[in-house]
Amino acid sequence: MNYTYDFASIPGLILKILHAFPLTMGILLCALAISLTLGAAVAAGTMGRNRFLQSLCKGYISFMRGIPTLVLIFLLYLGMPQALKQLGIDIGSWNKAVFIIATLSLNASANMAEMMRASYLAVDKGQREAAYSVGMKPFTAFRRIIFPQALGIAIPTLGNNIILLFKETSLGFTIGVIDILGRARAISAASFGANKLEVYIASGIIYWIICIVLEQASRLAERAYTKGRKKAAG
Amino acid sequence: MDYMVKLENIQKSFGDNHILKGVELNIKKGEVVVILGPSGSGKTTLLRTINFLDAADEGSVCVNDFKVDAKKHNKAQVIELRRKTAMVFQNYNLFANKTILENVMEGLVTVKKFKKSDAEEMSRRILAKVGLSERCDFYPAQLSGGQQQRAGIARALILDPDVILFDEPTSALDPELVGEVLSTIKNVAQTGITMIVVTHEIAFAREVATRVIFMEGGKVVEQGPPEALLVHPKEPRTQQFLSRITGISESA
Repeated sequence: MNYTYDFASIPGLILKILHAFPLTMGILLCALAISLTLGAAVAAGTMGRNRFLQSLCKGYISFMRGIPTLVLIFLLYLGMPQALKQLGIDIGSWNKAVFIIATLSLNASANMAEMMRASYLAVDKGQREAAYSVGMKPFTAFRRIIFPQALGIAIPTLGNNIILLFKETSLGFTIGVIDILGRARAISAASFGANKLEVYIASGIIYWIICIVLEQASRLAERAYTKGRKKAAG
Repeated sequence: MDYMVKLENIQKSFGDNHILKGVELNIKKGEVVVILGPSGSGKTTLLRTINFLDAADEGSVCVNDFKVDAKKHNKAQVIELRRKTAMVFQNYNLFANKTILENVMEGLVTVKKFKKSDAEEMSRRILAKVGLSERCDFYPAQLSGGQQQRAGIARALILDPDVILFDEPTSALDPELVGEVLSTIKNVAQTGITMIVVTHEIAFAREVATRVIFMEGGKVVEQGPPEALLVHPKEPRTQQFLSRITGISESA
């Protein structure tokens, strides 16, 4: 059997698939906000004085990094409703996007926590001492001196984490979220799979281009933020 | 009490390493005290116990009649003590995320709650004094070591502290930049502010200090006026140290 490919249809397919762009971006932004918040809390926990909280947060990071995203999706989407139903709580009817946001938030929060911890520790300890020596309280020193420097250090990793997170939004199709990939699959299914290759090329191009934009944005952000502050080599 | 700084029985260990073994020190207002000693003698640690960057294990620190007991200090006391002192660091430790002007303003604005415009005016004036008028809007990384250290001195001075602690302020500098920093410190000394300087610059000690202290093994071995201690040291350990130091500088 011969297939006939119609590559000229790709631009049109891209436009059609892009209708799902707002949903994908919505998922990305929600997951990003939640994972940063959660990550900050976990990072604080790993560096705090409380031993119990320390091991709890380290265990959390280890688990979230060790579990494949797909397994976590199924756990939350299939496992959780079953468990909660027995407690009389019905979450089976919730919007599916909620489950993918929850999954990505949990999963990414481990990377975010590690990123924050590493950036925080990378700030020279003399900076804190100098802040203390002029009489700042610990929180003021953190807010005015440590955090702004840690942020500068974190930006490239943050950009990288956002790109990873963005690509993982595509896993939403497994539970029927009509995001970019979900829509691509729907379009393909509507033509009984005749244009599979073109559809996936189109969606691949979309993901790639958005990643390029994110990469450039991250680079620009880093340059703008650390302008003049970095030591010249040597 | 007429002492500006009073240290009583300062003890400090890092793990099994007993660094400070009961240091006693009384410093009057306006004194310029230079602390000399071989590396590992505890002089930098002593300086850092004064503003609690390293809290002593035992003893007490008293600055301008505000006394903090090492064994039962609290956060508020430590902050209060730090606000009576200022420090100039070996590696300058200027705030890397702030310009030179902002570095100097920072303490005035966030700690002393000055109005920004007033803080800026004062900061510019003091930066002019240390010869950095042209560098106000530069970031620390864009300056030479000597310029950074002069900014560090301005940052300490502007807080109008009761005592300024200098922790080897010229040790990280290229040799040709030492002079500009030492002359800045000399100018500060002439204003009559109380200073404690940890350094290896013997000539500077001789010229600027009102008292020189020689430390070794976590204790004050000998102290006195610069001429007496540097030219006619009584203790053999002081003699040994000084001959070693001058030996090095002659061969260099």
